[in-house]
Amino acid sequence: MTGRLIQLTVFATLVLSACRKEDAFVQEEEPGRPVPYLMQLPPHFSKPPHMESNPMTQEGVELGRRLFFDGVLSRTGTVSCSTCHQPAKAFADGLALSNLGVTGNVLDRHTPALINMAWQNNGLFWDGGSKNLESLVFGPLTHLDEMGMLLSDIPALMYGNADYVGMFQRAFPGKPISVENLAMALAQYQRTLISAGSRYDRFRLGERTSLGALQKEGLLLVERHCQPCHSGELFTDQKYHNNGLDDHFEDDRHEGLYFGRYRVTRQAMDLGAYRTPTLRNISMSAPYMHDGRFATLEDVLEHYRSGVKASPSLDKELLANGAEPGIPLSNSDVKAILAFLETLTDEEFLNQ
Amino acid sequence: MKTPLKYTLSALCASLIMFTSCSKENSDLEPVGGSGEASLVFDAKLGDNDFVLGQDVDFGGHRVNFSRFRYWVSNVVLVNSDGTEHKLENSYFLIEENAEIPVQGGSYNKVYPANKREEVKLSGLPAGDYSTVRFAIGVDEKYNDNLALTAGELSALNGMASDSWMWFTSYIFTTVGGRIYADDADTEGKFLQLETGSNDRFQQIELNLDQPLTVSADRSATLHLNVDLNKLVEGIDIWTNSTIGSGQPELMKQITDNFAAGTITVQ
Repeated sequence: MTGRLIQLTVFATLVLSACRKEDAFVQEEEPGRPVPYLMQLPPHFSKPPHMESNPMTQEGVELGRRLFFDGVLSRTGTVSCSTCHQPAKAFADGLALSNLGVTGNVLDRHTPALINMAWQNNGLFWDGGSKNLESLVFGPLTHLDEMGMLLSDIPALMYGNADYVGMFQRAFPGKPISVENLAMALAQYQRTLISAGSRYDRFRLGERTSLGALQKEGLLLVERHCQPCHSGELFTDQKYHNNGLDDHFEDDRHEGLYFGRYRVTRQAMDLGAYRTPTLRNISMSAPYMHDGRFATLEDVLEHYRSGVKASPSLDKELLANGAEPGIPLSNSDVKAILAFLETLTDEEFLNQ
Repeated sequence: MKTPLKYTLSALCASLIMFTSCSKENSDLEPVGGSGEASLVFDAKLGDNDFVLGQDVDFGGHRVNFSRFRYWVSNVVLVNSDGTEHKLENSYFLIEENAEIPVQGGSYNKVYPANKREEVKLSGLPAGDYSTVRFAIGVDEKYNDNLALTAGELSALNGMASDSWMWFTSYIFTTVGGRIYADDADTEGKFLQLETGSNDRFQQIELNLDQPLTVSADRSATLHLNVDLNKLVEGIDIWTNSTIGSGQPELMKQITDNFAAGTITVQ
């Protein structure tokens, strides 16, 4: 029995290897083949979607990390991705509307925090105008007030730096340095930005004492009132909602900037709708909303309590609580929710 | 006697797997009759006249001075008279007739050079008589959604994915640009820019050929197509709608519908 099993195994191996010979040969010839990057997945998170056209490798992530923090990718040589996406501020910049780009001009939208990007597969930017991180990179790189780069200058810039020549070669063996590969490396790095080490997470994974009584009460309130949109362990449904910030959308300036997701989809239900941001590290990523109009979390909760404006595209969830749009919250509810939201801060994530 | 039968079955299965998994190589075999080349020529027209840049011409009932006409032709498929389809891999071509275009909105004092490109070369075609040509105007979803993927001539660096569209990271499928004038007395005119894009506006075109396109190893075939810009804007008042883009989805659809309905004809 054992003998037969061995024979079969040997035979099966032969069969399998028959078609792989060439691959194996290539592998030996190219010792510098990139090593797959294995993500450390939090046990309570789902598996992130696989980006088939840009598999993560250690070398790709390393290159992406170096690029992300390097001002060389800007017209002035001083503005990097991390100028506006600062780790300590949950990869945002703390400003309502940033002026940290190459011109110092104020941007149109609030810098979004970069948290658990590997799971985000329903559009990026506040209005979903970009489908993936790879494409998104082209936006800030070329925006005249952000990094202001001429795309065609980038390969020569990289070739002028021996470190980068080596890193590109290791990440993308046999391929010339290109804007496309640069975008892929930056996307790979951003997919490594996983935040799942907060006090809430420890509670969730069985450490019942890591939340106090008020925080536990806050968690229940968040589940009931906030999680229709800030859902699951990612604390976002990744969808687009009109949460009642405005109630008229006639202003068509700046190529429909004030339309919300409508400018992408041209569907009436998307007027004033913006992407649900995660609640993770929310205490560290003030101010809030797509235009940074609320300075504090108290302001945000007050909006949901008393400031929601009705319009035909207002999200249905905000009409579910009686005659007035919004979420009914008592003062003690607000206190409990604020106490819970602080437990979503992930120190290790912020200190990377 | 049981055991040998089992072995035989296993061996049979295994060799089946082997043949199936290695069969890719077989498809590299030369087709019977060899393979050849063909060209598609997209000749831009204004009705019976040639499309020209930098001259005042009548366009949609208005005086227009063109500076560019550019569009993506992709996913080319030739269908043999016997119904066999031959899809050309990585077929993404930028057809263009343009004056210099400022790069990324003109902030870098650099330009895309003036160019006239109307011919697309298709190689490695199995010999045969092709009676139908299919292609698309625009870029299919896979590539339109991801500017970091490249195939054929696709690139975010040639002004067909950039400028005002970067908040909506995708390709511009078609662009017609120039100046349009109210009447003969108007010396200033206004900006004319008709653009299409977005996955919904990816437009399939099918042309049935009265005379089949004959491809053989010793003969290169050419298919001449007329692309009539007058037909492209049929039903659109281009004076009122001198700027068409993502903000005018119905008019974008009108343009892509027109592309499929008579704008492109066999010469």
